[in-house]
Amino acid sequence: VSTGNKLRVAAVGALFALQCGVGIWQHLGSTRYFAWAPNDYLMTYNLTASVNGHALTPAQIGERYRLSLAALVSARAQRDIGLASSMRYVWEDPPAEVKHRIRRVEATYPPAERAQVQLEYQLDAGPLQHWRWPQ
Amino acid sequence: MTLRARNPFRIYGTDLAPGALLAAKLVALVFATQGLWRLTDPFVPYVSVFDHVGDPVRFRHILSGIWIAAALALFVNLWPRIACGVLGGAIGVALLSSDAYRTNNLTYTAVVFLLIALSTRTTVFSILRWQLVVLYGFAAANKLFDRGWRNGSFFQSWNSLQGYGHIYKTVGDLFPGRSFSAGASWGVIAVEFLLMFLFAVPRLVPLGALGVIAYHSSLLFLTGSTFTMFWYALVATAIALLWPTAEPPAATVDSGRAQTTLRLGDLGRAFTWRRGAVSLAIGATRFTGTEALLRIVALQPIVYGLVYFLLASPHDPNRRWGALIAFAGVATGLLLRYRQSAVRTLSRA
Repeated sequence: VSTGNKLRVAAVGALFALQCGVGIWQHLGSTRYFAWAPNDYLMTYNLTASVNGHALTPAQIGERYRLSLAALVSARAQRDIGLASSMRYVWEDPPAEVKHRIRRVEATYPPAERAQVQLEYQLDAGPLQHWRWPQ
Repeated sequence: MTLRARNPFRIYGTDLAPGALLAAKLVALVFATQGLWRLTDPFVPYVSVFDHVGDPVRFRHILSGIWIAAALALFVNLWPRIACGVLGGAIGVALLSSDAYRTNNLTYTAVVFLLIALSTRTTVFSILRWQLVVLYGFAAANKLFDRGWRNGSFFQSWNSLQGYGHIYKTVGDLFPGRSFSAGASWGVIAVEFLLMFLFAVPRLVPLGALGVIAYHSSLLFLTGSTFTMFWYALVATAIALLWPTAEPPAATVDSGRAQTTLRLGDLGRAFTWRRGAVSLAIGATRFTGTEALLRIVALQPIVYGLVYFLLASPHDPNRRWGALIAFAGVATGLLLRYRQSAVRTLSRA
């Protein structure tokens, strides 16, 4: 077996080990980054934010956090699965990942430009939950 | 290297396994067709080094430029191994540089390119099947550990939001409580564990590959979504695992119109052609009649290229026809495998 092939096999082994390690590590916490958990969550939510008392529009919020805020949840669907009427948007990863992104984005702004954020959400049409940033 | 070797439809004659090279070209074709080559600029990166890359627009342009150059090299079979490594690496860098860009399907796309770059003709089968063991193992385990999956609440709410939500609700309401959704959830978990098991046992890999095509095509048929790259990349992986030959097989066809079309349509020189009664030789095995014709169609790289391109190209298409073609392919694949096993059993008897 040539040295090149040995190196390739070692690199493949490292790639598999990395995937398994990250997958297990992510399961110890509340996020699922790089953990092969595709579209396994249904978080329906509403997100509002304001900077210095000025409310941001959905377009501004979408741009700030790079979230897709097209209104996706119809009134019929809200009724059918028992969602609160405020639930407008859909996120298909764990809620902790949205919160993590908001925290990281806000940390990039100077204190005077940071937003007050309110997140209301339901996971798998469960109980309505509230989260604020800064807490 | 001759001009013939630069033929983009050609998959034989490089140091990569032909099925793996075809898979890489198919995935790159979709990525290029759908404009995904634009990649991303850094945004909430996973690795802090991407906080210090300077002008984010220039970063994205450089990354896109590298991706395009590697894709062009791959299409003309110029250093295809390096090209696959660069394609996977560029997507990997984009994933690590942006939380908003990262998705499981793009991660899988990057990993497949990297694994193909690291594979040889002898290791590609093992490498790709173990990747699928890891993928389906984690996917099934994550669902199993999640309460919303175990009690059916995820399945019920997610399906109710889809275009077919009202039909789903009508069917679900025929059963008590959430039992329909819970049963379907456990069915998905079982299918993913089954796929993991099939890829863990070498002789069951062909069944696993057909199962992957059927499973993801049923999701495509139901939702109308390929989940960005998931359907394309997983079906391409299955094609690589099912590809039966390392050299162009010998095909014999007569002068009939359909068979002449097959011969003239072989733009990638995927066969060595002869005139005569229809037959196909793959290694020591020789097929005749309809069985040979079906296998000739199935081993034409251009057929896959055409289906992938048409499926990926429209902006707002009804892509469900792709699932129907895939179902037909799976049914044909099962039929041919069953016939081949039956012939072997009869000849032993």
